[in-house]
Amino acid sequence: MSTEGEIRLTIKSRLQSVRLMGTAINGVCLAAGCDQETAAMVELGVVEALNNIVKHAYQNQPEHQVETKIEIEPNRMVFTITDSGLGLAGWEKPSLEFDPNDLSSLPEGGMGRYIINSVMDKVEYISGKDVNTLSLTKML
Amino acid sequence: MNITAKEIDRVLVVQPLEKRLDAAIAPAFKGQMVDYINQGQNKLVLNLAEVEFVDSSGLTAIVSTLKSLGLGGGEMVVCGVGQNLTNLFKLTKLDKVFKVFDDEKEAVDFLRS
Repeated sequence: MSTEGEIRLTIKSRLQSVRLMGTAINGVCLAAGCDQETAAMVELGVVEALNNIVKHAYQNQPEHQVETKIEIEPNRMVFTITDSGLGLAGWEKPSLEFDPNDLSSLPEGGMGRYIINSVMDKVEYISGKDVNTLSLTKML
Repeated sequence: MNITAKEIDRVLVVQPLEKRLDAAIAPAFKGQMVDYINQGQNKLVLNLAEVEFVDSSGLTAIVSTLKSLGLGGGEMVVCGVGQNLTNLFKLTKLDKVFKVFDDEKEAVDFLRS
């Protein structure tokens, strides 16, 4: 019997709290029928998004809230993350080009957005007057 | 952060004892690695056997260490890489960059040779 349904989790805007959310996401993915590798990748994608929100939308101020709604459907999982911080541009996938034989060309930034877009099948972001909504979809 | 370091024939083996090398801890990890380099270490094995989760911040700290060492004439290799980190290396194409060994002894022997 597959697991379907919805769960909402709220954390404070602290990187330590993102860890907790990551662990929870992993557990929910496993309960939804994902194998361990997929659960780990989905956890990573959501953690990267939450890190961006904590660091950039809330500028590392720890007293705000970030809500993640997880919807489990027969063929997909949807993670809807809402915050009331600064609107962020640039959720699209960057290029990650480098020469593996040239150490100076190795990336030291931008990998978070690359990971989110590589792991998730759809990434959508809307910045509103009082709330920003990031929607991440993973097909099962 | 919780990290151990031991020297074997001028090769420094560094092992983070944290399960997650993530945004919360990456600055401390990077700072520690910078200290080792500033102390003159230039052959380094990064043993990640205890690490179960790495995000882009952790990965950036590892890459930064590799660059600092390599561009300064030194070398860093990695061992104890679990499946999650292996997948992340492949996803970011960094699997073509890091020398990865199955165990610490192999990694140390490579840098000693």
